Amino acid sequence: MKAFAAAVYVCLASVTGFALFHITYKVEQLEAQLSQLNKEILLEQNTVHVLKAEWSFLSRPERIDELSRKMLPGLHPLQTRQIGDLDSLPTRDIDFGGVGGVQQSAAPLAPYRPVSARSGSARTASTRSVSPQATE
Amino acid sequence: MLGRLRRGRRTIRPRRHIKPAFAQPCTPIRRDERNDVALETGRTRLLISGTVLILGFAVVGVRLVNIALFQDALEPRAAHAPHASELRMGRADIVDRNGEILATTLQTASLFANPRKILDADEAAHLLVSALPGLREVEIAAKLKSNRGFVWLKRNLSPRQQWDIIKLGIPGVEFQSAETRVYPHGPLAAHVLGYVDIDNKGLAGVEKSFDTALRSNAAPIALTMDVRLQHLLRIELMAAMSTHRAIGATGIILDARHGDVMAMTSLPDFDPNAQGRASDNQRFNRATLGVYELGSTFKIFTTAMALDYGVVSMEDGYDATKPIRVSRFTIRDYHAKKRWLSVPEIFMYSSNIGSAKMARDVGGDAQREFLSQLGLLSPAPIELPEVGTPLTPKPWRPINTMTIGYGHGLAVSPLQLAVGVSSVVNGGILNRPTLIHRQPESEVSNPPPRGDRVMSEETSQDLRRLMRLVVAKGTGGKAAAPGYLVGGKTGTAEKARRQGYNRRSLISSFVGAFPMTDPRYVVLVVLDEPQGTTKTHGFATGGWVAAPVVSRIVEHAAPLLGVGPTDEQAPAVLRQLDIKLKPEGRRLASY
Repeated sequence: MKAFAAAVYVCLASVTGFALFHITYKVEQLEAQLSQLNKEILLEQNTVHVLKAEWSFLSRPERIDELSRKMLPGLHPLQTRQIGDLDSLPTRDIDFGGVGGVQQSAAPLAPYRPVSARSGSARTASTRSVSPQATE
Repeated sequence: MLGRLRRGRRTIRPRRHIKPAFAQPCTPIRRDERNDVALETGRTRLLISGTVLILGFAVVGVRLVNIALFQDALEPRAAHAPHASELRMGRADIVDRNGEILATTLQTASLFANPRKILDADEAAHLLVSALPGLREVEIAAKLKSNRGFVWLKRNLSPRQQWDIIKLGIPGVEFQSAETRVYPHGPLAAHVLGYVDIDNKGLAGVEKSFDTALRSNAAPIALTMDVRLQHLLRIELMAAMSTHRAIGATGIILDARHGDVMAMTSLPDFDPNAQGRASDNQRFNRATLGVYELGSTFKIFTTAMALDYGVVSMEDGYDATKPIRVSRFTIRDYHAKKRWLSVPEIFMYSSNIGSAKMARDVGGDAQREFLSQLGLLSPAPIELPEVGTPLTPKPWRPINTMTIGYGHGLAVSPLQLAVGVSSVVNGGILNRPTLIHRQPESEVSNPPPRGDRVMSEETSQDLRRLMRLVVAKGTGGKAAAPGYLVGGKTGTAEKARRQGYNRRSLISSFVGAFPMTDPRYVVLVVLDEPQGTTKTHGFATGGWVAAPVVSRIVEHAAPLLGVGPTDEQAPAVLRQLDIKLKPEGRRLASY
């Protein structure tokens, strides 16, 4: 009985000891891994930081200006007459061709409003009837 | 131990050190009084010292468990485990209102060598020069052959250069890392950003005024500037400067409603990455530090003041037939009409005589108060260390009142003028100019400070009409940008010499706002000593040299600023900006 108890105790002790060392080594290993990962993250962050600065350097308006002049000779700075809003778009008669037997109304979606910004020509257009091509 | 002692009391065992060879049959040891007393003493001593030791070990044990399990077990490891939180540089970034990086800090490597470890100096020098073409092979070889233990080869390498050198694998060549301030946009916003010294300490601009914040916070500082607008302003000014062979130029785009400085440039400028090579002239911030007599643009303030104080109305006028002579001064008109002029005409033809008389009628004290309310008599409250103090006349004589009426005798910085004009056109509210962008999300909890009212809304409305008139029919016609309802005022000032004024060296400016129905942005362009060209028929006045620059800036900046074109001939617009000229003024003159 005494021997059995002793054996149990020895067993327990060695199991505990083994578990303890196992966990300790595991923790140490994980910590080393964590520290390695943290180092890598910092390195990556540093790289991102450098790349951001480089992006800012490469995308500076001065350079884009120069490049677009060289590479996109057909592209010119935006002109005022190229800017419009939704209201300045003429509405178009939409004919859905009676799909599924339902004949859609051919009425314009919104009343056409002329843009007098386009001065003379637009003015005269407004007196004419609704035309899909309108202005310009 | 105690148990054995107790047992020992009953049976006295044979003493162990007696060797068996000499063992004799045990003879009971005689117990006498003396032995008993000695034993008793020894027992008590053992008991006491044993208890003390056990207590000691117990304390140590408890403390051990406490330290190992319950106290911050990770604490001693923190020193060597890097945290993966945000990367921290020694100095925070500066970004524009859209988050574009204007200034950042980079880890750079500096290359040094230990000549004693170099195996073949000539070969090493050859390899290094192949990677860094900027170096001279002879110099490097000489350095590598020297008998020292340390020589600098090149400072602040780019990451790519560093990688190239690592690839060469030369023994004895090493790197030392340091932090360097980098301005990716180069000279684009040099005067606003400022620069740092070799220890990354701010020496000028935002770098200096926010030095502490940049050092202590990781979060970047966002400026109100927009790099696109800044670029636009800068190239237009550079073009105008070279066309007119001006010695300097400055431009400002200001948000009229909030006082945000959207773009501000001063030419000639410098590259803050190499600030050591910049001359004092390049470093000088003409937009905030320079103070100039800006000329006729001041008529905006004179007219606003006269209208706001009720001294004149839009229907009144002054006789501008003859130049005014006050003591030894003569005030004459540049675009002389030699007749009676109404207030709108005085403004539109930029009549010095009319403005001087208007200022005289308002009076010196009232003028001083009005100008000081507009912030024109004290340094501009901008977040830059380089702020010029206006030059005011002392004492403020009646003649000063008259000359200040058309912008001479009071020198202010271009920024002050832009801020003053923004308060005139925005409905009469003076907003503090700012370079620091307020994040939209903080707007709700922390609304922007309201400015002070400096004039009535009606006056502001009248001035909008007048400024539109200048561009539509007056001296500022070249500032027109169709669709954007530009309004403004030209200014041409003669530069002060030691004695009087120099007619040849001018400060030509144009201050404009758009759209005039509800001005959102103020654009100021100032050229220092421009020369006329054949295209301008030899004129170098504000209307000829500065106004066209404003026109181009507005045309290209408006889409970026989200201002769409409006119909300039729409009845509502015409009604709002309509102005009555006197019958005599019907004849429309240009310049």
